[in-house]
Amino acid sequence: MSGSAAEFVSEAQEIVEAFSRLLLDLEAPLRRGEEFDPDILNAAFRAIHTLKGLAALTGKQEIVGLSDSLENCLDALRLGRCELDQSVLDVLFECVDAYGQLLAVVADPRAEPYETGPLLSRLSQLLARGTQPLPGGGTLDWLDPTMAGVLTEYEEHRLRENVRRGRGIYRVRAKFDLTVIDIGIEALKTKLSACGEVITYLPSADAAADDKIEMDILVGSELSLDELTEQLADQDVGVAQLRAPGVPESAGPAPAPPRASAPPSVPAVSPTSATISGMAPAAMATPTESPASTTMSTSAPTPLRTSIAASNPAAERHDDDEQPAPPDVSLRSLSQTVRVDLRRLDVLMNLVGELALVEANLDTVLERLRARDENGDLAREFKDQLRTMSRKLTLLQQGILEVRMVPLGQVFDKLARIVRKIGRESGKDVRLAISGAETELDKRIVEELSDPLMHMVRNAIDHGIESPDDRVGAGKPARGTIELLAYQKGNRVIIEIEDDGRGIDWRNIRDTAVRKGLLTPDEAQEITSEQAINLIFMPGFSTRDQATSVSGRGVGMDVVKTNIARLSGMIDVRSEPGRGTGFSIALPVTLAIIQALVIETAAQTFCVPLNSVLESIMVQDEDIDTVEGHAVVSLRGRTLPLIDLATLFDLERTGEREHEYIYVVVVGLAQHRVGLVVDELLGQQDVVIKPLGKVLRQIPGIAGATELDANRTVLLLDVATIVAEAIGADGLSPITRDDHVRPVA
Amino acid sequence: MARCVLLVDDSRAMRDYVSAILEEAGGFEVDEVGNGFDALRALPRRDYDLIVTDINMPDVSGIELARFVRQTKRHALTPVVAISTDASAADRDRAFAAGATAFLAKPFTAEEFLAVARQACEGGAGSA
Repeated sequence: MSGSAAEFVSEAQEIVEAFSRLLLDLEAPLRRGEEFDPDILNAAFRAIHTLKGLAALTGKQEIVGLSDSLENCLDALRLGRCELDQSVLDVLFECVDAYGQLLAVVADPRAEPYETGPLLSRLSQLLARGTQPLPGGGTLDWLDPTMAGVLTEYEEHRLRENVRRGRGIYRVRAKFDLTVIDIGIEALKTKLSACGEVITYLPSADAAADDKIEMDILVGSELSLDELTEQLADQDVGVAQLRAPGVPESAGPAPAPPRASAPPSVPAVSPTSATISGMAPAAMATPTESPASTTMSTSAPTPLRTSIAASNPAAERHDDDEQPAPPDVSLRSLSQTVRVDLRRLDVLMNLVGELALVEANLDTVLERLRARDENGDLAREFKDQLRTMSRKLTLLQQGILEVRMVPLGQVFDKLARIVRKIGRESGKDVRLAISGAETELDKRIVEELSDPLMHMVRNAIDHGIESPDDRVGAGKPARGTIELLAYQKGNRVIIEIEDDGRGIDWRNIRDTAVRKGLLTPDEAQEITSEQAINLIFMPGFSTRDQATSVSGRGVGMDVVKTNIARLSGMIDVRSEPGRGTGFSIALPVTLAIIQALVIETAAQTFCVPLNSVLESIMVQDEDIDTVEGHAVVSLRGRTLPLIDLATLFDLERTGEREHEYIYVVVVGLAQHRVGLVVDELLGQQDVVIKPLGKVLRQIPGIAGATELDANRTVLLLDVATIVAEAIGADGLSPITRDDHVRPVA
Repeated sequence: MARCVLLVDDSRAMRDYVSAILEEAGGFEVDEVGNGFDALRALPRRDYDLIVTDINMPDVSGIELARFVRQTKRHALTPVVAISTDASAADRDRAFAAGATAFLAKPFTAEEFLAVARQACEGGAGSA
C-alpha cells in the first residue's frame, strides 16, 4: 500500500468509525421510543460529506459513489424529508460494513472486491420514499428577513421544526472579544444546549471595534422568556423572544418532548401578533449599551418584550475603559491533534529504554568516583545531577508511554456494531452494556485485542444467549445482555466479558473432549468442573459439531487464548449453567518496555516479565509433592506444577544451598499457572527487550535479551514456552490424586 | 505581490485540495481555518484579497460568514467564493443574497476553481 493510500485508509477508517458511533447514538433513543438529537444526524451527514470529498480527491470512485448516495439520504433525513426509523438505520449500518470492505480493497487490492450495486439501489429506494418536506412549521415571515435570509436550508428546517414542536424561538445576543471568542462561545454553547437547541450563530461586525464581534444566536427552547433569561443570568447576554412557546402542532407525528418539564402554559401566539412582528435587530437591547450599538439602529424600535440579563461589571469595565492592545488574533484551530506512525513511537520508546541503561551505568561510574574522590564533593554533585536526570527520564518514559495509549472504546465501538449485526442475523435480542471504555491501553495491544474480543462476543451470542422464547421460558428477560467491562488494576488492564445466557455445562465439555480424543476416559473421571470448562481453550475444540455462520469461521477459543498469551495476557473462564458465562482477560498496559523480575539460579541471572508473574512464594522441601513424576506444590487448594530453571537450562548448581526453603515464582499464561524454582530473587527493574542473536534464538524458553547495569546482558525468559512445556502437549494441568502423592525423598 | 486568500472549510481534505490548487497555480498566499469562528478571528488580522468558504459548516455557516464579511469595513469589498456539494439551489441563492461573489459546486477541477477564483478577484473591487 502506498503512503498516500495508507493515509487515505486510516483517515477514512476514522471517519467511518465516527459515523458508526453516531448511528449507534441515533439508534439508542429510537429504540426507547424517544427523540434523537438532530445534531447527531447532522454530524453523521457531515462525516459522510467529508468522506466523499476525501475519496474524490484520491480518486476512489466506488467510495465516492457510495458516499454520494448515502449523503443524499442523510440530507433528506436531516431536512425531514424522510423519517428515520429502524429500517433506515439498518441500511445506514450496512453502509458502515460496505465502507469496511471497500477500504479493505484499497488497503490490499487482492482483497475480495465489494459490489456496491445492491446497496446503492437500497439507498435510492430510501430516498424515493419521501421527497416532500414533513408538514409543519408554517411560514417564517415573523422572522427578520435579514436573519431569515442567511439561514441554510438545514438551519431553516431546524427552525421550522422547533416551531412545529411549540418551542419558543429566542435570539440571544452576545458580544465577544475576538481573542477569546473560542472560550466564550464554548461556555455559552454549553449553557444554551442545556436550555434547548441552538439553531445557528449569526455574527455581525461591530462597526466601532475590529477586535469585537457581536453574535446573534437563534435558539429554540421550551422555556419561557423569563425562564431562559434566568438560566442565562450569569452570561453577559441579551435575550429577546422572537416567538413565544406554544402548543405543538397536531399535524404530523409529534412525539413527546425530550425534556421532562412541560412547556409553560403560554397561549399560542399567531405569527401576526404584535409581540413578534416587525423585528429589527438593532431594536433589541444589547448587554452593553454602548453608543456603537445604538448607531446601528436604522428603523424605529418596535415594542418588544425584551429582557436584559445582568451584565458582568468586570466585562463592562473592560469594554468601556480599557482599550486592549491591538489583537494578535491567533489562528489556532479548536482541535489540536497530530497523527503519528506507531513505528516512530516505537523508536522513541527504545531510545528512552536505552537511556535508562546509560543511567544504570552512570550509577556504577558514581561508585568508582566515590572511591577516588577524597572529600566526596565531586561525587555528591554528580549524584545530585544523576538523581535529577533520573527523575526527568522517568517522566520522559511515562510521557512516551502515555502518547501510545488509546482508549479501549475504539474496540468496544466495533463490538457494539457486531452485536447489533449478529443479534439480528440470529434472531436474538441482545443488548451490549459497556463500561470502562475510557480505560487506556497501548495502541498495539488494543489492535491485537480486537479479533479475540470480537470472536468472544460472537461466541456469546451464538452459543451463550438463548432465543427470546427460550429465555422467557427460563424466566429470564427476553433480551439477552452481554457486559463488557474494562478497568485498570495495578499495571494490568482487566477486561471482562459476561453474558447472561445458558452457560457452559462442564459435563458436555468433558464428554466432547473424550469423544474427540482430547482426553482419556480415565482423565475424564478425575477432572474437576473448573478444569473441564478450561478445555474450551484446547486446539481443535468446538462444542458444536455444526459450525454456524456466526462463530463457525474456523477459529476457536484456542486462537483467542494464543492471541492473548502473545500479549503476555491471561484469560480465565467461569460459567454457571443457566446463568451465563464470564471471561476475564488480564493484559499488561504496555509492551515495549517491560518490568521484569530479576532472578538468579545456578549463579545465572535471568529476567522474568513481571506481567507474567503472579506472586513469589517460599516453599519448604517437605511441601513439595510429586504427581505422575512432576514436582508440584499445593497453593491455596490448587495444584501448582514446579519447574526448576536450573534443570530446564541444564545448569549445574555449585556449593551449598543458602536457605532451608526454595523460592518459587508463580507465573501465569492464559489460564495456566506454573511455579518456577529459583535460587534468589534479586529485584524488579524496567528492561528494554532486545532481539536475540542467531545462536540463542534456537534455545526454547528464552524470549530475548536485555541489558542490566554495567553492560551485563541478561536473558529474558519466554514464559509462554516454559509453561507449555510444563503442562505437556495435552494442555492439561496435572491432576491431583492424593493417593498417588508421595513426599520427595 | 501575492494575493492573500482566507480558506474556510471544516474538511481538512478539502482545505488541502484547494490550497494545493492555489499554491500550484502560484501567486497566492493561503491562510486556512477549519470553522466559522476561526474565520471570524482571522479576518481582522490582515487584508485578504479573496475569501473561499464552504457553505455547509456547523455553527457559523458560509452564508452567515459572507454576510458578516460584507458588514466589516476591512473586507466589505473582498470577493467571497462559496463552495458546497449541495445541489441545493436555495443555499446557493442565499449565499449570493448574503454577499457571496461566486458559487462553486463540489466536486470541481483545479481549472474550474482557478477560473472562478480569478474571475472573482478581477470582477470584484476587492483586490484594488
